[in-house]
Amino acid sequence: MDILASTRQAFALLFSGDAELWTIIWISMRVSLIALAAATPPAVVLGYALAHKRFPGRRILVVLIQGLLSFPTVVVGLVLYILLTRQGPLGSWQLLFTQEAMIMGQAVIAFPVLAAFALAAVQGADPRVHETAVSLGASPLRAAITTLLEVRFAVVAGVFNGFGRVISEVGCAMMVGGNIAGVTRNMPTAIALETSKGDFAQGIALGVVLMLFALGISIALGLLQGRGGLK
Amino acid sequence: MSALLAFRHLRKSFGERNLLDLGPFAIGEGEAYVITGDNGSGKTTLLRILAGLEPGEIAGFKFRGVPLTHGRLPDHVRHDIVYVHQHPYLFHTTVMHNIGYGLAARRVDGAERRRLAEEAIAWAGVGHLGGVPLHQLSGGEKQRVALARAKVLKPHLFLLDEPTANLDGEARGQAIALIRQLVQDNGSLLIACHDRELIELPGMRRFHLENGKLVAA
Amino acid sequence: MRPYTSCLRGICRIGAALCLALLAQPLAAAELKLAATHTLHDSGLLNTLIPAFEAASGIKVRLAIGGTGQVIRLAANGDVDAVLSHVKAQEEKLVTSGAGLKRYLVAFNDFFIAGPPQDPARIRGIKDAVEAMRRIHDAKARFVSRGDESGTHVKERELWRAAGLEPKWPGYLSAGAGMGSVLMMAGEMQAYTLCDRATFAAFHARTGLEILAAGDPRLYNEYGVVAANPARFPGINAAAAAKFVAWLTSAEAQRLIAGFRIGGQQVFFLPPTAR
Repeated sequence: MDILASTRQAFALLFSGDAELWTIIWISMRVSLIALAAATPPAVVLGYALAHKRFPGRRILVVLIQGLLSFPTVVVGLVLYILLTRQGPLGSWQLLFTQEAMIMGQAVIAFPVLAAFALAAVQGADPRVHETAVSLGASPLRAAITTLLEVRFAVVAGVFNGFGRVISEVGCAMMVGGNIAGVTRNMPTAIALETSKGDFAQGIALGVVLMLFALGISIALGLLQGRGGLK
Repeated sequence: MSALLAFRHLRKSFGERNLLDLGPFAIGEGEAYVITGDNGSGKTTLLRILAGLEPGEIAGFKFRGVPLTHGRLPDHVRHDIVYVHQHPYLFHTTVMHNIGYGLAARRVDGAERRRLAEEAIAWAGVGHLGGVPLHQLSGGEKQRVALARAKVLKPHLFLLDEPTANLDGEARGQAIALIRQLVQDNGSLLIACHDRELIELPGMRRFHLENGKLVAA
Repeated sequence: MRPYTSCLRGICRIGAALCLALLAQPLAAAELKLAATHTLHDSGLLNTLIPAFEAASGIKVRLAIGGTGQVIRLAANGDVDAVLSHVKAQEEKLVTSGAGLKRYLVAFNDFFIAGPPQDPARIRGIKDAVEAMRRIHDAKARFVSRGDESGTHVKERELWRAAGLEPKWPGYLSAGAGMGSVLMMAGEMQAYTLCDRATFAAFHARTGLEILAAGDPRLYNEYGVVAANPARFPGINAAAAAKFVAWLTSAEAQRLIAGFRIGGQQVFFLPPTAR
C-alpha cells in the first residue's frame, strides 16, 4: 500500500492516455453534460416564471425548490431504481443500468440547483430591464429572453454549480448505473470500486481529475462573479 | 384635431392615500406637454400608468378615438406608446442592438432594421459610441441613445420621464435639442419634468400636477 | 490551591488509565476480526454460523465482506485474524508465503451458469461448462461478470481461457460488484451469469433466472479457512483465530453447514472426510 508509488502510477496513467482511464472520464463528461443540457431549459423557465408571475402555490414551489437543493442523492437513486426496475412502472423501457438512467438521475439532481440560481438571477435583475423591453414592444417571451440574457452570468453560474454537483455524485450513479465497466462506470463510481479493491493508482488518478474539475468550476464561478457584478 | 389619448377618470391610491385623482383628460395628435409638479406629486407614476408599467384605475380610456380597456391593450396600441425611464437602461449589447431592439420586436427584417437604426444613430449623434461598452456611457449619452431607441419606432406617443433631470451643461443641451426636434416633427409627447428650458420650448404646452389633480397652466 | 490541582491531575490520570484498562482487556480477548467472501455472506450462511460461534465461544466477531481478491489481501497484510474464501490456490499461497498458518477445507458446492428462461444462447442442459460459455460468446448474449477478482470471477476467467475466447462484446458487462448485486443486475437485464449454488438459491425469487448449465467437474467450488500467522503479525488475536478454525471444523459447525437450507434445498456440502 505504498501511496507514493500509487501516486506516481496515477500520473503515469493520466499522461499515457490509458484507454480505461479516459473511457471513465469520457463517460463522466458525457453523462453530466447531457444531463445538464436536458435540465437547464426547463429549470431556467421555471426559475423565470417563479420570479416573475404571481400564481397560487408559488411560494410553496419556491420553498420546495430550495429544499430540494440538498436533497439526498441516494433517495433520487432509490426512487429512480424503483421506477426503472423490470417490475416497476417504467420497466418496459429497460433503462436500468444504462447511461440513460444515470443521465435521468443527474438531471433530477441538478434541476433544483439550476432553477434556484435562475430564480435568484431574475429576482436580482434590474426591474428596468423588463420594463424597457416591454415598453419597446417586446412580447412576454422576448422580454423573458432579454431579461435572462441580461442576467446570463448569474444563470451560467447556476449551470456550473449544477455541474459540480453531478460530476462527483456517487450514490445515485452507482444505484441506477450499476458501475459497469465501459458503460456506466464514471469517475466517482470507479474511485469507489478501486478503493475498495485496494488499487489506489486509478483511484488517485481519477481523484486528481475530479479535483481539477472542482478547481476549474471554482475559478469559472469567480470570474463570472466579477463580470456579472459590472452593471 | 382628434384626441390622441383621452380618459374620463384616473385614480391611483396607496392604501388610504390617493396619489392621483384625475378628472377628464385629453391630448391631441401632434401636441407636446410637460407635466410639472413637485417631487412626489405623482408625475412619474402618471406616465408609468399610461405606459402600462403600473396598475391604475382608468375609466373611459380611448386611444386615437378607439375605446379600450387600459389594462389589456392590443399590440398595435402598445407599440404606439413608448416610455423612456429617467435613468434609461441600455441592454448589455451594442448601441446598434439597443436601437434596433424595438424594431426586432415588431419583426422588421434585418436590413431594414439596420438602415433605420443607423438613421436614428445619426439623428442622436451617437455614432461614435459604437465600440464603447455600454455601462461606461455617461448619463447624457445614455439618454440620447434611449431617445434614439424610442424615436426609431415612430410611436404616436412619447412618454419621457425627467429626461434632463440628471444632466447638466453640454449633455443637457444635447438632450433638449433632440426633444425639440421631436416636437418640431409633430410628435406627441408627455414629458414629466421641471426643466425651465423644456417648459419654454416653442410649441410646448403644460400641465401642472398638484395634490393629485391636474391643472392646466 | 496548588497542592489540590496536582492531586486532581493525578487522580484524573489514574482514572483514565483504569478506564482504558477495563475497556481494553475484554475487547482484546473476545474479538475476532474475520474477512469472508461475498458468496458466503450473500447466501446467508454466515448469518447462521457467526451467531452460533459467538454463543459457543463468547468471542465477538467483526466481519468484513469482500471479493476473494480483497479478503485475501486483507489476510496477506495481517489486517484480519482469519479469512474465509473459495479460491484454494490463493488460500494455500497465504500459507506458503508465511502469512497464514494452515488451510482447512470447510465445505463445498458448485458453480453453474444461470440465465433467462428464454435461453437465447441455447445452453440449457449442457454439461460442458466451456461449451456453454462458447455458445454464450457466439450468440453475443448478455452476460454479467463479477469483474472484481473474486473467486467466482477467477473461475469465470478459467472457463474463458479454456474456451480460448476473449470475453469482449457489447453484451458482456463487467460489474465490479458482489454476487448478490450481480444476480440482481442479471435478473434486471435477463442476462447470463456464472454463480454459486448458495447465493443463487438465496436470490432466486428476486431474479427470475434459472439454472441452465451445471454438473461440469470444473465448476467444483471449495470453501476454505486460514488463520493468520501470529509469528508474522504479532498484533493479531491468534487465540480467537485458533478457536474459530477449530469450531468451524467441529461436528456442531458441520451440522449447521450441512443443515443450511435455502428454499428447502441444501446448498453447502461437507468434505467426505471430516477433520
